Amino acid sequence: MGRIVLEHVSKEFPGGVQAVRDVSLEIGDGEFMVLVGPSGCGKTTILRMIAGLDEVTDGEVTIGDRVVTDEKPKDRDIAMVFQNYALYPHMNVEQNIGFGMRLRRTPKPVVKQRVSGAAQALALLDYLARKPADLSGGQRQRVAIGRAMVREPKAFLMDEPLSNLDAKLRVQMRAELARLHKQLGTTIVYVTHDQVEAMTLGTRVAVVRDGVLQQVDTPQVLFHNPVNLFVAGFIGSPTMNLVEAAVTGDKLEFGSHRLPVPPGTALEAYNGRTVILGIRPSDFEDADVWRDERLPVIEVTADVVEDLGTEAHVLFSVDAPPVQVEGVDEDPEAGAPIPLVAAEGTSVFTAAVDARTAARIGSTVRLSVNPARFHFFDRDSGRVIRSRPQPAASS
Amino acid sequence: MAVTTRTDDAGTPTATPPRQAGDGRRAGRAGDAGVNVLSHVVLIGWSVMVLVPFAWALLASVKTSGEIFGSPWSLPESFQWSNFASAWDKGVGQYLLNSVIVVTGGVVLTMLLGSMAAYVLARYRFPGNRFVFYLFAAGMMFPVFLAIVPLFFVVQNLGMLSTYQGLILVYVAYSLPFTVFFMHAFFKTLPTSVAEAAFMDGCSHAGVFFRVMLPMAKPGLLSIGIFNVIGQFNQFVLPQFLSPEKPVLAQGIATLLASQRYEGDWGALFAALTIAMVPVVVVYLLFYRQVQAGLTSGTLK
Repeated sequence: MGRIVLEHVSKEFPGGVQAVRDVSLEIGDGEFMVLVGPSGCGKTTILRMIAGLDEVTDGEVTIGDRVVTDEKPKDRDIAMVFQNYALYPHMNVEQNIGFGMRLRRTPKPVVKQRVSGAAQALALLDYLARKPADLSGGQRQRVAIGRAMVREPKAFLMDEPLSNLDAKLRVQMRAELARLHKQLGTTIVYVTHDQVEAMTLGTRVAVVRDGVLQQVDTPQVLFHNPVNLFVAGFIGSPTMNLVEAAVTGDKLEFGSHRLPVPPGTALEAYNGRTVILGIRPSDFEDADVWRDERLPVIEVTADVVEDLGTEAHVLFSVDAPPVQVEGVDEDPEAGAPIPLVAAEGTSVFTAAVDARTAARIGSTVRLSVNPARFHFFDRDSGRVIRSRPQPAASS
Repeated sequence: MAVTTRTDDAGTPTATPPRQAGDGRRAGRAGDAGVNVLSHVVLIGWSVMVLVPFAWALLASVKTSGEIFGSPWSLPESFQWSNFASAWDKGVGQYLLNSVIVVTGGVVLTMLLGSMAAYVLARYRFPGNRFVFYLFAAGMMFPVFLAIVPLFFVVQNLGMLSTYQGLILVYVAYSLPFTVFFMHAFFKTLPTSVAEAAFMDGCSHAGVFFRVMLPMAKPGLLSIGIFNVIGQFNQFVLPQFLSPEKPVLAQGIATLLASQRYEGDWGALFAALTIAMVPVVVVYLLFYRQVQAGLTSGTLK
């Protein structure tokens, strides 16, 4: 029913800006699909094309069993939640929520019943007579969601619905959305630039960059098996440590560190060349807290230690050129620590270790690291160097 | 006299009247206070200029001719309410009715057509959009006097001289440019996402305009509505030429003024003036709060 299929969809704006290039995406019925990417990557345009607010330059959009490429928004049987809520300021909450039904000449008792049902689900019953101007940000957001809900559409489209809320409310509404999705079972297409939202909400997540789909998969696969440098750098907080490493025989060399090439990797072709090595901060551990004799250990000097209570982030520099992934560090709100300005030719690494670590600024820390969790990328193409059959999720 | 530049570093508004330029270098609060006092002095002066003639006319409308010329500011011995009756008998009632009909028709049509045109020009891309918009803008700069003679013949050929519909059409044509210009700017400021939400909810284009955008534009509509009511109510030149046999209030008063030279019933003249002023004042008093409230409250955050 609520299946949405995009086939080779492209969008070129007047003036020649190519916002979306040849995107093919199948969103299953009842799926929570998150489109994520840096600002200006085309994710909102994709959503607006599904909604019918932007015309498709090329390709085909199917919702349910119908091709809707040339249909008006109102005929697509979908509802949208906008970033700035877009409530009707001259109507009260009840009228706002019921507006779409009134337009469709739904009988009044039905309107009333559905509005109060939605208001109950969203804890808005006490505010039905209020105008949007008299509501808080979170309440306005709930009204916007309620307005979408009562229509009982085939799918919800949500365009950064939480980005105007403060941090605490955002977390609360995020949980609320997850609950709603479970309760309603309706397909949701959700656009965000916040990878935490993407990871926590999405059944599957589509990473978009420059109008091109990079990878579409479950959050776990995106995290553990990114297909390219961009996905690797975008997903995960703190971001993945990326560094150029030389492959010599069965050794990996970056800066002053030497680590064994994990067995089963397809790095033979790169012998004597450099690859890009990616290590998740969470794949480091303080060797003095968690001892695993089988794992290699590197010794580093902590530049900064951020104790978050649940874990500690140890920032240290590695004497190797940093790898810049375009578009990853653009969002100041993503919650990642601001990268230190590395000296020329050195990279700053982050290790997320147990909070019991004894690491202090300037102290030497012994970090154990599991080579089996390394990610390797081709230096020229940025694509992952496929190696081993990966366990889908590890903990 | 230093009237040109004002090198005030206190960040005072640039609209400071030039008189203050001499003591410009005061910083911070002192400078702001100076501007404050000065702006109030100007505003008070302006209020006096507006209110004194108004009060004078009101006062004179209940006096006898002798009292009006004897002591302009004294209260009358007894209130001459009969002035209003005699003004009414001299045709003011009919003039007022003519004015009300023409202005009502003119303003309603102006607002409807003006906001519709402005909305389309502000929100839809189509070839010729800018051309139409600048055509309207150019209309603002066209002086009435230049158009009077051709306009007379146009209205005559339409057989609409001295008719309500003739005046209404001309009023609408003359009010549209500024109305479109103003409402165009207003619609531009309204968020597009609300209109899009309405589209998603199932509105047609007309539905979006009448059910969502027009109510949202209420503050702008009220402002420009008051502007049009006052402007059309005060028209003299256009009706003088186009509606000589169905005079509106402005013409009626002019006729009355001319005849008072012989009759000497000045109280009735001032009563007629008061009758002419009252509708405008009432309209303003009814709506100014809404205009202010509408302009200051945010519709969306």
